[in-house]
Amino acid sequence: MDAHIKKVYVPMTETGFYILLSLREPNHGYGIVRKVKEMTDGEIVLAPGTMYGSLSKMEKDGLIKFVCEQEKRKIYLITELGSEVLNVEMKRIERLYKNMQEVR
Amino acid sequence: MKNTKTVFKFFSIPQYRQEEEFLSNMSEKGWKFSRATLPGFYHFEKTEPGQVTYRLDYNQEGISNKDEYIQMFSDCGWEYVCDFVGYSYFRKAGVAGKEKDEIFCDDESRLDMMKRVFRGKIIPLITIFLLVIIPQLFTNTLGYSGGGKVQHIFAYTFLGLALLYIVIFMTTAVHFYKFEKQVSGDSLEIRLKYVGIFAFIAVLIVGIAGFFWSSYYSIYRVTENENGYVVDAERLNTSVEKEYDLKKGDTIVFHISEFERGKIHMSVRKNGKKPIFFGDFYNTGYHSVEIQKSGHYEIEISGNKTSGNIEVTIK
Repeated sequence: MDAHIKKVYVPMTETGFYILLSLREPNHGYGIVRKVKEMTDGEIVLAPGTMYGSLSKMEKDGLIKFVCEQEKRKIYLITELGSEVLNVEMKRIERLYKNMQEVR
Repeated sequence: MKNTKTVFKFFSIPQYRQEEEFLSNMSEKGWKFSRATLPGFYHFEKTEPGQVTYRLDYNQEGISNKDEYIQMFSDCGWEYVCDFVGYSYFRKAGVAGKEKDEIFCDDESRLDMMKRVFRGKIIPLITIFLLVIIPQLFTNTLGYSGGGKVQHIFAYTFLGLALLYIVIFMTTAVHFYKFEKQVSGDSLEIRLKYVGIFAFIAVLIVGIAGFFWSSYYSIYRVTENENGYVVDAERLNTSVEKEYDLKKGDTIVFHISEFERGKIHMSVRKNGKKPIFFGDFYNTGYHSVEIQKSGHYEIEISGNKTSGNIEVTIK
């Protein structure tokens, strides 16, 4: 993981985190929006401008890759680098959670 | 009653929020936005008055992959209207203010959009400003490019452009400052950065004012001698007038011994009368005038960004 990736993605925005989490399986932008809405009981609704910008940025940085296009919707999948970044994030959030539990 | 309407409106580059509000207000009055054309005409169609939220995105990648880009927005409930100067216009029925009426759901992506606007629109403007406008302002004020009215028109045209650019730079800087302050807090680092930016803009304004001020400022020296005088001008924008009592048979000799640029206007007249000699000169050389009637004469030499040396001798 180079310095640029670390600077931009560690720590990551909630949007970024949910995109990577969802793209462990191939999916398109709107598919991710629906999935995240489901996962968070409708609390987080990702907006299209954010989604479009994040997907193209992540593709450029090599965190996700383009798989194919279906009915004008681009389908993406997480890359090895993406998984690596996601793991770093997961560990950070786990630590957050653990520390939160201790003071509760 | 007409079913279409066109409104001219100028929004500076970072004023897309104001633009969204303007389009929503038009909807409330029953005018549905259909497209925009240069330099800033907004075309509307008559419709039922209603609450509509408009949102602008700036994404060149989206415009080049239009089908897919529009699909993403339409999946999320946004109707695509049109593109105009790099911005894409979307709308959705309903009142703005609720979270789901935003096309961005976090500040990072909002800042990303502003950065795209900066790269796509402001950087080209800065380039034109530094490579075209400033050099043109310089040659048309301090330098010499043809002189006369044409150069004046050029100087003021580029001054107008420069001021418009500065307004755009200022509004952009203010917009970015407010946003960065909101996102990352009011830190010393951010303050210093913007103090720097505004100081730079102030230097530009002072510099441009300096161009104009010094272009009207004359640098010349008049040396009198026994038989007349010498005007040695580095930049002559004013007129040098001298008066002499002359007799019939006297001759005034103008010797343009050096000439670099501008024009030299010379005239000789008896008090209050039409000149007996006048003209604009652009070369070195001799010109002489013989006096026919004795009297009090006025000799005038004037210039327009003139650089040269003129000797006046009375024989």
